[in-house]
Formats: sequence, C-alpha cells, structure tokens
Amino acid sequence: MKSSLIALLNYPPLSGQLMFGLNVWIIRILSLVISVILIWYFTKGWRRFILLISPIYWVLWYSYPLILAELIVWILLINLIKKNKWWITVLILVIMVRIGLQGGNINLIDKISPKHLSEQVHWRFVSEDSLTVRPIFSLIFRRISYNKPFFAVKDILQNAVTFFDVETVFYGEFHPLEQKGVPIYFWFETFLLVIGIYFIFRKKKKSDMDLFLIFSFIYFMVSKESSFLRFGLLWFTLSYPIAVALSRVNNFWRNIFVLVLVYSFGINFFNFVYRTDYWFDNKPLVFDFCYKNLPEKEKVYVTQVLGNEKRYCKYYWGKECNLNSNIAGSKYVCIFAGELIKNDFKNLLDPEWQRIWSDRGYKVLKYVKLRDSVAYGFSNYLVIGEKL
Amino acid sequence: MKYKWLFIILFLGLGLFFRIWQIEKSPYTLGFDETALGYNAYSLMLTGRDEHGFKYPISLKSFGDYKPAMYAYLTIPFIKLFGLNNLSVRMVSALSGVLLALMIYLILGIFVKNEKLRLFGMVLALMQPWSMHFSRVALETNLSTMFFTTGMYFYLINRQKYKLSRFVLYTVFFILSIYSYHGARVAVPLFLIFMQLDPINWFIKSKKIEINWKEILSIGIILLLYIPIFMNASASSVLTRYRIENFFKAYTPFAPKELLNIPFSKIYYLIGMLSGRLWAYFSPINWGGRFYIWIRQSVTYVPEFGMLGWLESLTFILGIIIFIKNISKEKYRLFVYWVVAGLAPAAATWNWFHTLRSLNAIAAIEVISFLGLFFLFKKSNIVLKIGLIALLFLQFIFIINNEISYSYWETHGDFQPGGFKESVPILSKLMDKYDQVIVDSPQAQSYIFILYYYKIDPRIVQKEGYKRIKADERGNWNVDFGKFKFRKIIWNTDKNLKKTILWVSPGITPDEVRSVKGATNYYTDGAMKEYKSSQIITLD
Repeated sequence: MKSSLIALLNYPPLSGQLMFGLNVWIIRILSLVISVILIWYFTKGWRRFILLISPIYWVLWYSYPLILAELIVWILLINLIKKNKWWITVLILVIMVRIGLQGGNINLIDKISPKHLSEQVHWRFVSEDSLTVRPIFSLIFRRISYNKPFFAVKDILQNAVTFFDVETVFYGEFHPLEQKGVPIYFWFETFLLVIGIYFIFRKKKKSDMDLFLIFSFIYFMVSKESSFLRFGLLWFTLSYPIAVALSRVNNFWRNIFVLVLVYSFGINFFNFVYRTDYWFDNKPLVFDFCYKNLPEKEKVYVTQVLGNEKRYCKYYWGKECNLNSNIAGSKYVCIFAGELIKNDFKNLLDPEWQRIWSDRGYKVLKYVKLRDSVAYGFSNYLVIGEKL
Repeated sequence: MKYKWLFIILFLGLGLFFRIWQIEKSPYTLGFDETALGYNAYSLMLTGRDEHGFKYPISLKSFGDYKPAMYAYLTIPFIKLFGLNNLSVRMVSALSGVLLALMIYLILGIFVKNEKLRLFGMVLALMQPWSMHFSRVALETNLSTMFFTTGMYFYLINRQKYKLSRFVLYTVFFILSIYSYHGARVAVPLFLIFMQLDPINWFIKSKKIEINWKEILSIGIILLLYIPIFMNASASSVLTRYRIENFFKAYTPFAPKELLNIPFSKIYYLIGMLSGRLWAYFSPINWGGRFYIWIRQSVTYVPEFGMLGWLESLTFILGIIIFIKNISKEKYRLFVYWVVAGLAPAAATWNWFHTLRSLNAIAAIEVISFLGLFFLFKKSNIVLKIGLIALLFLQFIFIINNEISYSYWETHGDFQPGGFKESVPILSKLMDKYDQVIVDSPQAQSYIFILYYYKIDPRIVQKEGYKRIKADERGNWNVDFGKFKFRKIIWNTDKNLKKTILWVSPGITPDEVRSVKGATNYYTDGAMKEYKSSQIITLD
C-alpha cells in the first residue's frame, strides 16, 4: 500500500503541468484549493459533495489543472449568461479560443470537410460497384442520399450522438473497449441521475440544467482531447440532478445512497493507488523512465514520437539538457523498441527484438513495458540502448 | 381517420416489398445459422425429422446450439411454395419485421390518439435500419421479437381493461415467443414478475405489492409449458447457449486483482458490471452508431447505424425523459419493466452491447424514441417540422440503399465462407464423373451449405446420424455423406488422389495445379469482383 501510494504521489506530470515552470505539487495544491473554494462558493448542499468526490475531479486537479481552470471559466460565464445575455459573446470568444488552441482540429470539422465527404461518397459507390452480384438501383436513386450535403448531415448526427454516451460518463471502468480515461461519475450514480431527473421534471423544479446541458454539448463538440475530458462540463451539469436525488429521497434511502457513494469513493481511491498506470496517461512515464535512467546527459536521443521531450528534459535535467535530434549520431538512446526496427500497423514487436538491436549495433541497457500503447506502431517496450 | 386501414395495408405492403425485393441477390448467400434453419425446415417438410433424425423436435440440435425449431416449422409453407431458396428461408423473418411495425402502431395508440402520428410511427418502425437489416436475414430472434411484442400489446390492453380473449392472447403469444428464441425464456417470466412486484411504484409511493391472481395464473401456464422444451432435449443441452455466453464464467472474480482484498469489492464490481451491461442499452451512442467488434464480425452488424436511425437515437433521450417524468403512471412503468426484463438475458452474457440480444426490448425502445420524436415535432415550428420530415425521408432512402446495395459488401465474409453457392453450376456438371468430393473444411459447419445448396435428400444425412458427435461435445459438426467428405486438404499428398474433386481455397496457384497430371481447376467467383472465393480441382 505504502509503495503504491508513493508511486501515485510521484506520478510524473503531464506536459500541460510543466508550462508554468513551477514545481508540479505547487500547481496541484493550487488547483485543488482554488477549485474547492469555487465549488463551495458556487454550489450548495449535496452538489458540493457530489462534485468533490467524483473521479474526474480528482484527475483534473491532479493532472489537468489547465482544463480544470478552463472549466471553471465556462461555468462562471454560463452563470453570468443567466443574468445578462450579453455574456454569451464572451463565451463565444472562449469557444473560438478553444478551437484556435487546437489548431482548428476538432472532430466535427474534420468529418464535414469537403474532401472527407467526397471520399466517403466515392467509397460508397466503389464498394457497392465492386460486388459481383448486387441489386441495381438507378444512379438518381442512389444519388438522393449519396451526396455530400446528406453525408455532412449524417456525420453531424453521428457525431452528436456520441455525446450521449452513458458508458464513458459512468461505466468507463467496466467498458470492454478499455478506452483510456476515468469515468466522470461512479456507476452507481446512474440510478441517482434517473431519480434526480424524475424529481426535477415531476416537481417542476426550476433549474439551469438545460442551459448547462447545451453548453456541455457545445464543449464536447469543440473538443478534441481524449474522450473523457470532452465530457468535462458534463461533470458540473450532471451534479445537479444527482444532488437533487440525494436531497429529495427519504432518510432511509439517502443514508444507503451516501454509504454506497462513500464506498465508491474509497474503491476509486484504491484504484488510483494500486492501478495508477491503468488510470493515468502513460506518456509521462516514458520521459520519467528515460530521464531517470539514461546513464549520461550528452549525445543522448530521446524518443520524439510523443513530442514535448525537450520540455520534459528541462523538467528533469534543468540547464544540462542537450538532446540530439537524431538517433544516428547518439551514444545513448531512449526509444520505443520498434523505432529501431520498423513501424508495425498492429503494434506487434518481433520477439527477437533484442537480437535485432544487437545486430544493429546497440546494447540494451534497460527496458520497460508500458501498459498502454502510447506510441502505437512502435510497440509498448521502451528501451534505453547504447551504441557500441 | 378515413381509409386508415388502407394506409396501413399500403405501408405494410411497401415494408414487405423492401424486405424481400432482390433477396436472392442481397445478401447473396446465407449464413451458417440461416442455412441450418432452411435445411432443417426442408428436412422436417420431407421427413418430419431434423437433420439429426429427431422427430418433430422443439429444439433443433443443429450445430449443438439447440436452436428453437419454431422458425423452421413456419418456414415449411414457404419452401412448399417457392422451393428451398433465400426467399423462402428469409420470408418468416421479413414478415416478422412487418408485423412488428403493425404492433408498434397498435402500442403507440396507448400513448398517442392522433392517427397520423401513429401511422407515422408505424412507417418509422418499418424503416428502422435494424428492422430492414434483420428482416432480410433469417433470424429466429426476429420472429420471437414479433411474438413477444404482440404478447406485450395484448398484455398492455388487458391491463387497461380485462378481457378473457386478451388474457388468452397475451399468454399464447408469450408462449410462442419462448418457443422461438432463448432470450424470451428469461424475459417473459421476468417481465410478468416485475409487473406483480412493481418495484418502482413501491419506491415512489411506498405502495404495497398487489398480486394479480389472473396474471399469476398466466405465469403458471407459461412456466408449465417450459417442460416440453426441457423434455425434448436434455436440460443441459437447452442451456448450451447460456453456458457458452455466460457472463459470470467469463468475468470471475469480477474485481481487478489488485482490489480483491478490499471488502465487498467483488460484489461492488459484479453489480457494476451487470448494471453497465444493462445501462449500455440506454446509451444512445450504442443505438446510433458505435460498432463493437463482436457485432462487426457478424451478420447482425448494421453498417452505418447502431440499430436505430440517427435522429431516432437522439430523440431516444427525449423519450426517456418523458418516461421518467411520467413514471408514476402504470403504462409508463410497464415499459421500464419491459426494457429491463427484455435486456436482462443480454446483460447476463459476456458481451457488453449486442444488437441481436437487444431485440426483446427493441419495440419498447422504439416506442420511447418515437414518443420523443413526436414531442420534438410538437415543439417545432413549421420550418423545423419540414426539415425533420425531409431528413427522415432522406434517411429512409439511405437505409434502402444501405441495406439492399451496400450492407452485403460489409458483411459478406460472415455469410458464407468458401463459395458454396457459386459452386453449384460447376460441381453439378462434374460430380457424376468422380468418386468423391473432398471439401477443405476449416469451418466446423461447412457441410450444411452442401446439404442446402445441393438439396441433399435429408434421409441420406439422417442415416449418418450415428457418426455425429454427442450433444455435449463441442467441435467439428461436419459429417460425410454421399460422395462428400469434409476434412483438411493437404495439397502435397492429396494431389495424388484419383477420380477425386478437391474443393479448396484459391490459395493453390494454377501452376501448381498444372504440374499435376490430369488435374484441372475451376474458380468460383467471390463476393467482390476482384476476388475468387474458392477453387474446384478435378483429379482424373
């Protein structure tokens, strides 16, 4: 337990946490304290409890302070819109900034680009025409629905429906696709959500849930982060009906629900402690391994597959950081095993990879197998090698 | 509404047309299970016995999976009429899809008084991607769903006003559903028990449980009629399907190994997993287009869609809210029990979300979604209404194109490996001149395609019944009959055989064949123009 807890506490920071040049724990504590104060100030009753124990919140303050800060800005602005509609202009600006920061790369825009649509329509015709035996529809009939405008609508609707993903929000842990990420809420809270919705609609309770829901959807649509972070604003939105459920049920049920929630929180805590690499992004582990294990700091090449290697280098080695820009001229390398062999589209690695490394003039000094495929194609083996 | 029934018949007729039009070409070939249903129906028609020689069975032993035999029996009249072909094998499924839409029209009447909206709902039900897709494939689940939904309709109206005829009808249709597919065997009694306990009512109003003795009687009758199912084949055989798909076996001990020492962690994870499997069916993303690998690799994969149309999977959310809001009314609660009971068998399997296993609840899901759509219509102005109708119309056309022209391109590999259908004209001409036909059989059930496409007399295969493996053994179900032998072909040794036809994958090159004296090869076309599905090599 102790060693696992230490491993969790020492989990290396994500690149976003290195931007300020501050000690990572200062940032973590700052984001924790500020967010607790704001949650306390803007919410009341059970909602505070629901927000503060949620799994995503613990990951946000621990690893994604920038996103947490951004979410708080969104929440503040949405609250202001309720009082004065002009605030929507500021929110639109925030949305533009978000899209801009992602270089305009959001899923939906990619999907409805004329080039992509044209390819989709073309692919349809080619596929159907390649069948040996097939019913023949007239071209006009096929064209009615096989055209760019309709495919654009289709893609928008298909993209929109991905927002309504109960599994990612509540059941990420059990989901067989093992999508990387933490659930927004504990699975048990699905039941509280239903009860909360019942009370809200049945008792005609006034709320700003619809406004928050709309903006949660917009936030989702203009995001390109890993999927659980796209649901960031939903974290705040859903806390309301869940809290309503807790406040409206009778004492007997409330006690049971709170007990299960506290237990869920405990299980979640142990989950983070014992299965850190399962829950957290494995990319920082790459740099942590490299910079802590490379025997020298000169003539060194660190994998560039993930990006941010220089930022991490400064974090770990400070002013001594001097990385080579290619493998060839480096004495020591810290790369994925496949980088020296070949990119495999199934992410498979030759079982004889150590021999191949040796044949290519490299001695394997140390290696580690990561849980997740953060450099898909180059295998999950991260290797420190020395050029002989 | 004037001429209501005329419109109903017209729409249902159109629905049937789109389900059977060009069915010989798309999907061009039959899958393993479809072929087994078709051939067993043929066998029952000619001999009163299934392929294994069992007389008038309730479950077909088939590949050891004990398929409920109802579908095969209902297929017999169509084989009589049209012969043994794609149309007659798939006709029951096509009709089930159409009748299911009629049931949805009737059920919608419980919530919606506007006839035009109900008719619109029926058209929507007819044109749902899943319904079009599953109706063009022989699936006993589709038949069971129709019976189950019909039973549900009579149950619903019987709850509103008791009549003996309604009581009898719902009991009969529920029984038919349990005789048509495994899933209904759990869903039907579970639903009726839910209705007796009414846990939501108890939670909301703390109301005492009110037992309806007439319904208890129907539960008793239904449970009594389980006996013949278990009498017909051994209990363990009937449960074969469950043993294969069992969730508990696949996920024990449920919690991650690092957390096993934490008190109650197993039960916490067990309930979480089961609950997740159930909630997955309330996740619009699954209805609207997330494709799981275990679905994608089967004939039940509906390309481009999950199950429902894109708009309908979104309005499902609105429908859920309407149902939650009105949950204190019995007719709304009944739908919740329907969905939960219908999905419970699916939730107890290792799969997360499975299109085929959701069918017991699909009619309820559709009603929920359509009510959400009607609500959206009600709240929309005329421009938005026209927009929504135009979108749905275009979606219908897309679905027709998708299902009739495109779908087979996506799923052809799962329908028929080996080019059996395409071989018929080639092999029929050659067979008389050779002593044996050896079929390379990497698949455990390829014999069924030969039985079906060559319309082999069932008596021939029934005679070979003693050679076949026992009920509890899982393995190769192929059986040799007549000139046909099923085994792995090893080219290097088998090329020396005489008066033999080898049926292999197209992997052996023409040069290799030419190098053998007296050998000739013929290719069968693949599903796609550039591919060959198999080759027939004659060794003189």
